[in-house]
Amino acid sequence: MIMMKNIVKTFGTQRVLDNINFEVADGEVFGLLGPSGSGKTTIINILSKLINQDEGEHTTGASSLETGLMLEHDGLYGRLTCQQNLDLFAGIYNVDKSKVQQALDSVGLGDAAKKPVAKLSKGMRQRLALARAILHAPKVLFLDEPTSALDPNTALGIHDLILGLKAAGTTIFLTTHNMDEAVALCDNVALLHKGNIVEYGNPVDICKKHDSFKTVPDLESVFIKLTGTTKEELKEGAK
Amino acid sequence: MNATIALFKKQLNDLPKNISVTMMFVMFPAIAFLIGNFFESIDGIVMQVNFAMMMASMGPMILVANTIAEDNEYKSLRFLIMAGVKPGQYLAGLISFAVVISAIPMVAFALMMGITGQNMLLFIALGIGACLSASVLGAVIGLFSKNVQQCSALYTPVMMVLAFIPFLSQFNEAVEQIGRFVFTGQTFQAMADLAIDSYISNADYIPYYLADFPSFTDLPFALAVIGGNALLFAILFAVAYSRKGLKG
Repeated sequence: MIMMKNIVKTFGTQRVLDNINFEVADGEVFGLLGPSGSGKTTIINILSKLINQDEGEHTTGASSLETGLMLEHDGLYGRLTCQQNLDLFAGIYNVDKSKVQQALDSVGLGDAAKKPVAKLSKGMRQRLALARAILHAPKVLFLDEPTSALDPNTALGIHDLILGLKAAGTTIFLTTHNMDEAVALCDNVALLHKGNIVEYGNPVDICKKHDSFKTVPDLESVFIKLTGTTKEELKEGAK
Repeated sequence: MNATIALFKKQLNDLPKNISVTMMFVMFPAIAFLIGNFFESIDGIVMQVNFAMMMASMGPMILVANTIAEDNEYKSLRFLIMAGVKPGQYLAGLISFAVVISAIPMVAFALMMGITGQNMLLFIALGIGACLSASVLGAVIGLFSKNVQQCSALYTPVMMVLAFIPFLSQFNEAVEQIGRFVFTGQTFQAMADLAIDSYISNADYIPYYLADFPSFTDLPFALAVIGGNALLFAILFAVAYSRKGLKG
């Protein structure tokens, strides 16, 4: 189970996280929603122990070897091919080399295995970063904006992959500003605004609670209503 | 161990594509070979020893420092650490590769200088020792570099000082005294002795100034200085690491 309790984080004089609390059950897809600067990446960095919180406690219920990570900076080796990038991590995780091709195929990069990463498009790099994150079949998967640079078709493919991983029992923690994506994928979401969680729960229930479920749940309207954020600000965050 | 081997293989895949660093390992033996043909007899060999020492001090240092700086700059290091790679495993992977890849040109240097048999083994061992010291120093430089550009700015003066100490020692007594305690100074002197010794053994005609060739090097002292330098750099790394960390 992923848990954050009373987490506070300050950078300089700016309090970027202010008393954050939530729990994510095993096998759940949890979405952290909010525009740029709301503190989403800071939460992932704290959970993945890349930075320390100032106050509070947290757990992911998984060791670093049981955790998969896809961050804003992909950290891929540009001169190496897709396959060589994954071979490195297959060696570190001690997983069979056949898993490398499987991981590449699962993100639609099977044919690009021998292509240097420096020659990939941003979307392809993002998919390769996802392949690296799932290579060792992690128990917990952190995905920071997994579909932000992808075309709609590829994004749908990634959605299927995420749902497939969920079906296999992986706990998935993702951040996104795409409210439709959150509704489609997440069992629960937290709406984050200026370091505070302003709403938390099942996305459909949240929409119903705030009278934003017309023909489809409209999580974006709920977010705007609760935070005073404009549509433009949300779009800005999505760039 | 898995992580160290995986990183070693990654370095092996990466080096041929990293032209600027690969050139270090090709350029020095190639130029030394050409120079050896320009200069007659022992002068050419001493020049070649200079190049061997420069490669041993510059190549591994640049390779290790650049790799760490790149991993910092492109955030690759954080993924390695998140995958459970310990800093010791990371450095072992980088340094072992740097030392192995530097040992190959050392064999080429020995062959082009006509150093064979036991002298060749000693020559390569000295080269490996110098490479090890240079690699650990490269790790210290990499630790302090946020990106590759900053890394170049840091290693260039260090490299120049280390590489020129043996050369300047021939003209300045103060530098010579300092060079006695620097791994490049001792490596150069010991390698030159081995090269001259091999030359005398093989030559049909021995120049008068080499007739009573004395060995300038106290080999145990040279090895102690090279090992001591590596240890000193390792301590420096440990202190810097404890303050700065290696988090990517």
